[in-house]
Amino acid sequence: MDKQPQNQTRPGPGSLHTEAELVTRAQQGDREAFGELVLSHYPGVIGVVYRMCGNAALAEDAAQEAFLRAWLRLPAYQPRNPLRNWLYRIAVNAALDALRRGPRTVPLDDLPGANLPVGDSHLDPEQRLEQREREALVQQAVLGLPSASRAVLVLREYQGLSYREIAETLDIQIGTVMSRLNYARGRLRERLEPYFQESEADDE
Amino acid sequence: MSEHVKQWIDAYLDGELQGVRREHVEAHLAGCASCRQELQAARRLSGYLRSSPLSEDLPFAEDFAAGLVNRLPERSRAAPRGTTPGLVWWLIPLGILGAWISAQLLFLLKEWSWALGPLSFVNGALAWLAPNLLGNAWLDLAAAPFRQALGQAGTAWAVEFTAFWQGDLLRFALNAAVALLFLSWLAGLWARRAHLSVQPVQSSETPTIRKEG
Repeated sequence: MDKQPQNQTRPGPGSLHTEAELVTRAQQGDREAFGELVLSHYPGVIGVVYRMCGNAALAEDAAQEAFLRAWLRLPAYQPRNPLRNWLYRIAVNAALDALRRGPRTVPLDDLPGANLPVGDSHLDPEQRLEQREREALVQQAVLGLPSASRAVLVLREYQGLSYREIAETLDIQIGTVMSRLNYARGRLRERLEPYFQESEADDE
Repeated sequence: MSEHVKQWIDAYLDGELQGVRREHVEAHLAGCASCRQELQAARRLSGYLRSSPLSEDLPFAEDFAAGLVNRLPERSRAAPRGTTPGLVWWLIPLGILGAWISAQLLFLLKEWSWALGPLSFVNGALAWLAPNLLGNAWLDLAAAPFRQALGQAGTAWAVEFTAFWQGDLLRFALNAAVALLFLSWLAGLWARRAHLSVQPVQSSETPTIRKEG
């Protein structure tokens, strides 16, 4: 019988403590405890900043900045808000700052989509190339959205937050979440619809 | 056929519709090919976005965390606690309201003090409130030309003028001051929220990708 992993985020080496304990210890200055929090929230935060920035170098910068800010602001963090949402908010702003600052240096292979995972290994080189092109297209389309709509889209599509959680994270109304999401998806469909029709035609 | 439900497709797809609205959307979808098509398109977009993987150039969690912990700056001991400024901030409007109510009560008491008669403690308590600071002598002086010019009528007007200066104008000024304080607080609140919410960035500000070396 195959052993399925229990969940996506595997427990870190020292994760014998609850998150609340780790937060309290980190608030008191315990770097190790903060390290464990970084480890467990890294997948979410890097997901947010990568989708917000569209390239790996900027995303890494933004993730570092986000966790550094989180460390500095941690004493003011109120545990009644989920830590994840608090971090996502910092991450969104860090990503926008990183975009504003611009890349340090972006090597050729950091072009959006240029260095995406190889994808399905059963695909032949031509199909793989096509897949990469599509990925790049999607990433550029997402990057072309206004930042406010992009943040909502990223938190919904990639992080799976509910509308209420998005509203709390970004400190906006649920109605605003809905309208921004609607706008973002509309724009993405406009840009990507031709591709969908093409792929449907291929499937037939 | 009922009205199209296209504006609810996103929320329906995201599992954010409940109860009657959800049932309504489902019932409509069952009979409307156009809305079903819309739902399909939304589902395809969502599925495609989610299937797009993260870049392989991103560091592994362990490496990232280890590198970051080594670079964490010193945090000052007197790091601000979140609770205190928050509490103080929300007490401000309560203070303003309290001051306004107290002032209104005092004005009310002052009006009633005529009816209450010579109760010395009331008069004593109100003494500071009465605008004697402005100086009745100054008011007399200001009203004197009118009094002289208009005789009896002028004297009556001067009495009115004095009463207005002592009562209504002070009251008006106090209300205006309270309103101004409250509006300043609201403006401060708005500024704080604007600062905390996502800082807007124009999409044109996204970095231009340089091809180097």
